[in-house]
Amino acid sequence: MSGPFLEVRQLAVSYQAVAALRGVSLHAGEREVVAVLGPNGAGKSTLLNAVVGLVTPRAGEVRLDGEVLTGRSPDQVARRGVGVVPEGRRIFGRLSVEENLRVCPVGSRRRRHEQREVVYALFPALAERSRQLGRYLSGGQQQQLAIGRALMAAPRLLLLDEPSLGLAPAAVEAVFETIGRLREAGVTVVVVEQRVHQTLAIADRAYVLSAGTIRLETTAGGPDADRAIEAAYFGEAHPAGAGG
Amino acid sequence: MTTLLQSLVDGIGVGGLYALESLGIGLLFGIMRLANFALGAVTMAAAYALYVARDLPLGVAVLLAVGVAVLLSLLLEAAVFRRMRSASEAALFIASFAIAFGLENLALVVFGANTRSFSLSPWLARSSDVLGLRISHLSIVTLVAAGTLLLLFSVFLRRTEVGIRLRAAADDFEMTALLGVRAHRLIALAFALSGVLCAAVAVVVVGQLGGVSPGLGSNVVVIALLGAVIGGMDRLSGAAVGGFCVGFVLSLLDSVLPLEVRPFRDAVTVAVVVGVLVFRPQGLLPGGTLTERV
Repeated sequence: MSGPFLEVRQLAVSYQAVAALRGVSLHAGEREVVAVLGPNGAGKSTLLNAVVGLVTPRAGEVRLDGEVLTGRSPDQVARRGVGVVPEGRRIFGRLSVEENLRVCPVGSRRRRHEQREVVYALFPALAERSRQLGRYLSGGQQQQLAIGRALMAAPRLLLLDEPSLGLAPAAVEAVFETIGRLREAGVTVVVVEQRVHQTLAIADRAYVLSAGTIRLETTAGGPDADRAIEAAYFGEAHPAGAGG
Repeated sequence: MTTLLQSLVDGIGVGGLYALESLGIGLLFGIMRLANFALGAVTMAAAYALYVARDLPLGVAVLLAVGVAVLLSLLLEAAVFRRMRSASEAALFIASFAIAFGLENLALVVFGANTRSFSLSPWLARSSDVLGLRISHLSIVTLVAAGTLLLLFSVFLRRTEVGIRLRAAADDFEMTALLGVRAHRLIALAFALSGVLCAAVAVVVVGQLGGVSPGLGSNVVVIALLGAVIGGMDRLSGAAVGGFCVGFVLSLLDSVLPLEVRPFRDAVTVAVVVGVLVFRPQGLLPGGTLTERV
């Protein structure tokens, strides 16, 4: 099956009468880090929720490696190799760090044990606190746990919803550094963010989502990417696909 | 002094009994926001299974009761609650109430309104001297059974991966699905486990009452719901502790209250529950909410 690794085609989502996504199309290649930028209420979280099966789109399709994900339940999507770091982290506060990592049932027991060691190597702070309850971790550590937990299934695609939200500056930097390292590990990353500059620094390409439509697609490294994105943010319509 | 000690032993046993039923309530409420009043009907069904199997050996009868309770729980999940996944808490509670009402009336039609008296085992009705105390075998069995089951459940929930998943689901059900946990299976498992707990409760209650009537289950589940509410519904340990406290207080009031007040025992208990809810609406145990940290 040719075509991009992740393909979102003409995705439309409505909540009652309100359209949250109006025909969004985007794609991500294998090992690519793709950013979806946009202001509050642009539909960024709705986009991720539609990909993972939490909301059912009115129209459109999501494919991963050629396989249709649309219409599948969240656990089926997860077992097809999609990991999620949701908005607000949503770690299990009453479970220990180790238990948080043991919730994921994907793969054999032995592979999960090995994967846990991989996560601990990536985040030594979690290894030191493996018996601590999730809710007693700092915000940055909670974010590490949320990422580590999503990695337990050894996903092919990792979706991050505003991973920097509510974190101290040092922790924000650590999160972006981690995303960079994930690419090296062979994971395709789609990160939804409001922080334009830091996200562009680690992304290969970026889309700007505003009022439920893609306003702009750009290669992050392009010389006028920043300016174009800021323009799209503030509502100046640019033709989608410019610079792509 | 002796009677006080005896009441304490009884209280701990009865408390443990309600802790089991409250744990069943907490399990389902934590995972799918269902305050399952129908657990009373499941308990009742298990009790009638014991009645039907009264001439068989006790072990066989108990196994049969467990089977009936588990199957009925799974049936209710598949037939009713699976279709109500996105329903509100209130709708779920009312549905469970309707099921309880329906099953209770079915029992009324099949077995009649009168208490069907029978004895699980003559040995249970006798007493023995334990450390100078005269304690009924039923009290001992209640204590041991409730304690063992609570211990088993606690080990299961803490040490096994499935148990960890159940606790995670009680914390944030949607998130467990996002991690690949098969939601339907986990919910069915929780229903089956609540059925096991109901069967255990049925054995002890039948032993205490020396029979079964259609109202047996709803009496138990009302108290267990109160316990789960004061303990904190969505926390498994909280629900169990709450159930224990209410059962313990009830049992103690039975022996401590003056005779003329005893008919109002349940009113006193509910007053205590109301008091707890006024002063600690989040439940008895501390630290219920996840604190956001930067």
